[in-house]
Amino acid sequence: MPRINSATELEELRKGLLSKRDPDKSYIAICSGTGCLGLGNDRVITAFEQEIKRLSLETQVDIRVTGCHGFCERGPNVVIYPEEIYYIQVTPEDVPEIVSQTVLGKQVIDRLIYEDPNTGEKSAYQSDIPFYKAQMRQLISNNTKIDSRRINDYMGIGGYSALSKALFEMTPAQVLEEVKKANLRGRGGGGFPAGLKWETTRNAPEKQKYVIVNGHEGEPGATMDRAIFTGNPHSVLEGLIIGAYAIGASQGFIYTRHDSPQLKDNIYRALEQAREYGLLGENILGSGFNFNVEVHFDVGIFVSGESSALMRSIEGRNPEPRPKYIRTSVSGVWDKPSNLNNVETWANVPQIINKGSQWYTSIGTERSKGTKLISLSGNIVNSGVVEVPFGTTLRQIIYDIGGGIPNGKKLKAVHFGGAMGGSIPARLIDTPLDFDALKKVGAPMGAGALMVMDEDNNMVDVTRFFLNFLTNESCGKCVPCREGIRQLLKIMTRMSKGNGRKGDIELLEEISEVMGVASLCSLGKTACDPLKSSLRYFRDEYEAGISDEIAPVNEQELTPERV
Amino acid sequence: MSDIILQIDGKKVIAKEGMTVLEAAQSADIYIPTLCHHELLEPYGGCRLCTVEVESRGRTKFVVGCLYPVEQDLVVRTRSEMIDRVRRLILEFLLAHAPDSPQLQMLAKEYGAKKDRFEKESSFCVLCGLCVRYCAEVKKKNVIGFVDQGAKREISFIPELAAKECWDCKECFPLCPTSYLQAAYHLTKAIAFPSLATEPKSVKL
Amino acid sequence: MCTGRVDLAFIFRAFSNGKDGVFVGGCWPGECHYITEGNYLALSTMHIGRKLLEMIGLDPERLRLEWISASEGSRYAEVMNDFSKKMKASGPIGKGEGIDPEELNLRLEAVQNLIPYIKLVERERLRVTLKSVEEYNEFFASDEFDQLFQELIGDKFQITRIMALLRKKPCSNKELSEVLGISPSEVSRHLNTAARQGLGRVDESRNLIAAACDENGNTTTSDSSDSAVTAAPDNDTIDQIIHEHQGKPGSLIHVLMEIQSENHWLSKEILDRISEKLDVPLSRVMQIATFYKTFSLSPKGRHEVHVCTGTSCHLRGASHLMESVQDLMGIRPGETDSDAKFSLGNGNCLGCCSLGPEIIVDGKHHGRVTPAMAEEVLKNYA
Ligand SMILES: Cc1cc2nc3c(=O)[nH]c(=O)nc-3n(C[C@H](O)[C@H](O)[C@H](O)COP(=O)(O)O)c2cc1C
Ligand code: SF4
Ligand code: FES
Repeated sequence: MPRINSATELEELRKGLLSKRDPDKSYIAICSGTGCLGLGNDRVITAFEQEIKRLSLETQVDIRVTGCHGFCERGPNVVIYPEEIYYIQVTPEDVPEIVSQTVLGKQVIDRLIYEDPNTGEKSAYQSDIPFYKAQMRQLISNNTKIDSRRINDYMGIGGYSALSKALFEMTPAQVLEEVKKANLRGRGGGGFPAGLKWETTRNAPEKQKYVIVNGHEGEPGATMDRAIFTGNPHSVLEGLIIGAYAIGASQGFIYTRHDSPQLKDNIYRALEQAREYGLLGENILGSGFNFNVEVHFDVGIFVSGESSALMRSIEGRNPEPRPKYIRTSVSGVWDKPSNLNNVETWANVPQIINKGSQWYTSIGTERSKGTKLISLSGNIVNSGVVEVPFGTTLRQIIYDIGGGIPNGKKLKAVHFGGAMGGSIPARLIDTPLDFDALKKVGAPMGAGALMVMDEDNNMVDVTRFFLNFLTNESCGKCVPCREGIRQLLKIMTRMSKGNGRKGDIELLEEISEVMGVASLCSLGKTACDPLKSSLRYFRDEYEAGISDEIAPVNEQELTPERV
Repeated sequence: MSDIILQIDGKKVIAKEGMTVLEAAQSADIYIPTLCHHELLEPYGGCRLCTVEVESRGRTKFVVGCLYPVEQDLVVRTRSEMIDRVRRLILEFLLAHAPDSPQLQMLAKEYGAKKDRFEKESSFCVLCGLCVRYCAEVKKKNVIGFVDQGAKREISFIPELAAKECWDCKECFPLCPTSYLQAAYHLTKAIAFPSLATEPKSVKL
Repeated sequence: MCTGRVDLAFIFRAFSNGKDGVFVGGCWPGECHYITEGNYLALSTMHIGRKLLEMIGLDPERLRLEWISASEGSRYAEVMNDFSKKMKASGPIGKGEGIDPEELNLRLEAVQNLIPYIKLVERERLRVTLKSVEEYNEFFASDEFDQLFQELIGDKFQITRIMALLRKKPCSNKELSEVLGISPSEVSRHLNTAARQGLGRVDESRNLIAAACDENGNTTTSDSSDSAVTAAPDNDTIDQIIHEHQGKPGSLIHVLMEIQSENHWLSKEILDRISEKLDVPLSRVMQIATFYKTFSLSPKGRHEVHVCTGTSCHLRGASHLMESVQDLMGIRPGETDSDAKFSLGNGNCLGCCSLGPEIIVDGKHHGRVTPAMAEEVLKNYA
C-alpha cells in the first residue's frame, strides 16, 4: 500500500476506490461477532467462500466478514446487499441456495427471514425488522457495511476524513473545543466529560503525554466495545489519533482483552494497515504530527479496567489500583499525563469532527448527548447489541427492540452497570436512558450492559452473584473492599438460605457505607451499589431471608465472653 | 522547599511540601492510627485505618492520611463520628482474623471495636504487607510476595529463597502485627525444606 | 511438670518412637499450681493431639488426659489400669489400625515437621479461653473447630505429605490420590496450591509432578538424577519470546501471556527463567502469574472446559449447568481430573450472552445447554 502524504492524496485514494466499485454490486455481509462465531458462523463463512469460488463469482460478488450486527439472538446473521436482505440463523447448508436464489436470483428465501414471534409478521429487509427499526445506529451501522479486516472498506465509507479535517483544517485547540461543545461524555462508566479530561492532560506541564483506549470490557454481559472494536477498529483508531492530536500526545496505548482472537487480530491488522498508509507513525498524512500506538492486554481480572490499575499493567506491573491522590490525567503511565477513554468514547470522536458539535448535540437529552450502545441480555427475547439515542426509555429498549420477556414471564427488574451498577423495578422502566436520570434512580449505566430479569429471579441472589464476582475480581489490597465483600457475602449467603439474623440488614448497610467511604478505588467504593439499590427497591426480599428463630446479631454479640 | 500551613483538628500545623497528612500530624504530635504504614517503607494505603476527613477547596472528602499530600489551608479532622465508624468496622474485620494481636486490641479499645462481631476467619494474616515490602524495599531480597487476588490474596515465601535467606535474618518477623508471618515461615519449612540444618532446631525440647 | 507444659512435640515424638499410647495426668482444672490455666492449655493440646491422630488414621484413644491430683493414688491406679487395658485391646500402634509401618512413619514425620506451625495456629486460632471443661469439649466438637482445623491443619498436612512423597520420586495425580487416600479432585486442589507457592515441578509428557527443592531447600533441576523431569516447551521457544520483548519496559505481562498461550501453563522452570532473563524478582513474577485468572501454574488436561458464569448466563441458569458439569467430571473449577483429560475453568463471560448458558470446550462454544445436555456435549471429547 502506498503511503498517503496529504489530505488531497487521501481524497484521491478514496475516489479511486469508489470509482472502481459498482454501487449495485452484490456483497454478502457475514457476521463474525462473538455471538455468531459462537454459533458456528466460521463454517458459514467458509461455505460462502467455497460456493463463490465454485461458481467463479469472485468478481461479481464480494464477501465481507464483518463485526457484530447486533442481533446476536438470531445469529448466525447474513445480509445480502445492495438489497439489504436479512437472513437469520443461517447454516452452511443454506449457503448454495442463498447464492443461487438471493444473490444471483434476487429472490427472498422465506424460511430464512425474520418472523415476529408475536404477530407472525415477516420482515425481509434489515430496516423492517423491529429489532433494528427502533434503533438509531450511528456507530454500529457501519459494521454491516465493511469487512473489518480491510482498511479500504473503511476508506470507502469516508474513513479517516475526520482525521484529515482535524489535522489540516483545525488546530488542536479547535478540536478540543469541538469535543467540549459536543459534550461527549465518557462511555466507560463514569460519564465524565471527555473534553474536560482531554484538557487536563493537554494542560499538564509534562511534555510527554499519553492517550489510551480502554477496551478491557470486563463487565460480564457487556459486549458492545468488542462489537465496535472488532467490527470497525479503524473508527476507534481514528478517534484516538484525533484525540492525540488535540491533547499533544505522541504515544498511545490500546488496552484490550486477550481472549478474543478476532479482536486481537483485527486490532493488530488495523494498526499495521494504518501504519502503511501513513496514518500512524511519523508525519501523519504529511501534517508533521507524529503518533504511535502500542497494544497491551488484560489477562483476566476485572479490576485492571480501573484507570490506575490499567496503567500499572501497561507498565508491566501488577494491576493494583494506585493509591495516589493525583489524577491519572495528570500523572498516569510512568507518571506522565495520560488520558484514558473507553472504546465507544473514542469511536464517537470522528463523527463529532466530521458533522460538528451542533449536529451531535441535537441528538440525546439535555445533558447526555449522542447515541449509546447497549448490550441487552438476561431474560429477554432479543439479546444482542443495540444502539439508541440518549433519551430513549428503557421500556422502548426492552419491548420495542428487545421484544420483551420470553416464556410469557413478567418483567421484574432491570439491572444496569454490572457489578457496580444497580437494579430498578419494572415500574421504573419509563426512565430515559440518561447518565444522570439513571444514576438518580439507582441504576447507573456503567458501560451499558442492560440485564433484564424476569419474575423468577430473587434479588438477594442476584446481588450475591455480583458480590461473588467482585470478590474474585478485585485486587484484595485494601481492607474495606476485601473484608467488606467477604462479610457481605457471608451475610447474604445465610439470608438466601432463609437463615438471616435480625440486624443483618442493618449490618449490610453499615458495611456498605464504610466501604463507600474508605475503599481505595472505585471498585470497592461502588461494590455495594447493587446492594444499595436492591435494598431500596426490594427490601422485602431481604427481610424474607431473616429467620425469627435465629438469635439476632446483637444478642449473639453479647453471649459468649471470649476474652 | 516552602512551608505549607494547614489545620489539623483545629490546630495550626506547619509542614513541608511533599509531606503527607500523617507526617504533618505526627510532627505536631497529633495521633492518627495506622497499621500498614512503616517509616522505612513506601506508603501503601492498604489498611485504611488512617482515614481522615479533609476539606479542600470547599469540598469535604475522606482520604487516607498516610498518602494524602499536605496542601496550603487544608483542613483536616482526624476524628468524627464517620471516621470512628470506619475505623471501628475495619478493626472488627481484622479482629475476625487476628483477635489476639496486641496492636489491634489496643486500637479496638480506643474505637470500641468488638472482637467477635464477625465469625472467626481461618487465616490470621491481616495482609498489611509489611513483611513483603520490608523484604523487597529494605532487604532487597524479595523472599516473600503476595499471591492470588481478591479475598484469596495471601503472602507466600519463595521456598528455595526462604531456605537460603531467612534463617539468619528474620528482621520482618517483629513487624508482623500477628504471628502469621512466623507461622507461614514454619509452614513453608515443614512443607518444602524440613531438614534444613543451617538453623538451630526450632522446637525447643 | 505442669500438664500445660506437655508439648505436642513430646507427644508425637513418643508415638514416633513406637509408643502405643500417651497418657497425661495432672491437677484438676482450677487447681493449677502455675498459671491458673495450665491444665486448660493441656486440655486444648489434648483435643488437638487427638484430632491429629485421627487425621493420620490412628485411634485418638491412644492419647489420654486425666485429672488426678497428688492425693488420688487409687484413682491413678484405676485409670492407668484402664488405659493399659484399652491400649492392649487396640493393639500396637499402626498395626491395630492396619497402617503399614513405613507409611505410619511418614505420616508421623509430616505431623512432627508441622508442629512448630501447629503450635502457632493453636495459639492464634484454636485457643479458647473458656471457663469450663464442658465449654472446651463443646468447642472442640463444633463445626467451627472442624472447619478451622481442616483449613489450617488438615489441608497443610496433605500438602506436606505430597511434597515429602514428591521429594522421593515424581508421582502422578493418580498415584498421589491412591497413596494418600484422598480424591483426585482434592489432590488437584492441593497441587494447585503447591504450584502457586512455587513448590512443585511437572513432567508434562509423563504427567508426573516433582518437588521444586530438596529437603534442605536446594533447588532441584529438571535434569537431575533419575527424576528426569522436563519442562514441555523447549527453552529456545521461551527464550525467543523473552528475547522479543526484552528491554521493553512493561514486557513481563506480555511474556507471560505469550508463553501461556503457547504452552497452556507456566511451569516453575519457566517462571524462574523469566525472572532471571527479565531481571524481575521471582516473587513479583509469581504475584502477577497468580493474580490474573488466565495464567495457569499447573498443566491443563487435554480439554479445557469452561462454563460461562457471567451475569446473563447466571440468570439463564448457569449455576445448575455448572453443578452438572462438576458432577460429570468429578472436579471443581480450577482443577484437572486424574487422567488429565479435562480441566474445568472458572468461566468468565466471553460475550456470547445470547447463547447462554453455554459450555465452551477448547474454545468451541456449545450454546443453550441445559444441565441434562451436558453429558451429551462432553461425551464427544476423549
Ligand atoms: C473496577 C473498574 C473496572 C472498570 N472497567 C472498565 C472497562 O472495562 N472499560 C472501561 O472503559 N472503563 C472501565 N472502568 C472505568 C475506567 O476506570 C475509566 O473511568 C474509563 O475507562 C474512562 O473512560 P471514559 O471517560 O471514556 O468513560 C472501570 C472502572 C473500575 C473502577
Ligand atoms: S477497593 Fe478493592 S479493588 Fe480497589 S484497591 Fe481496594 S481491594 Fe483493590
Ligand atoms: S496506614 Fe494508611 S492505609 Fe494503612
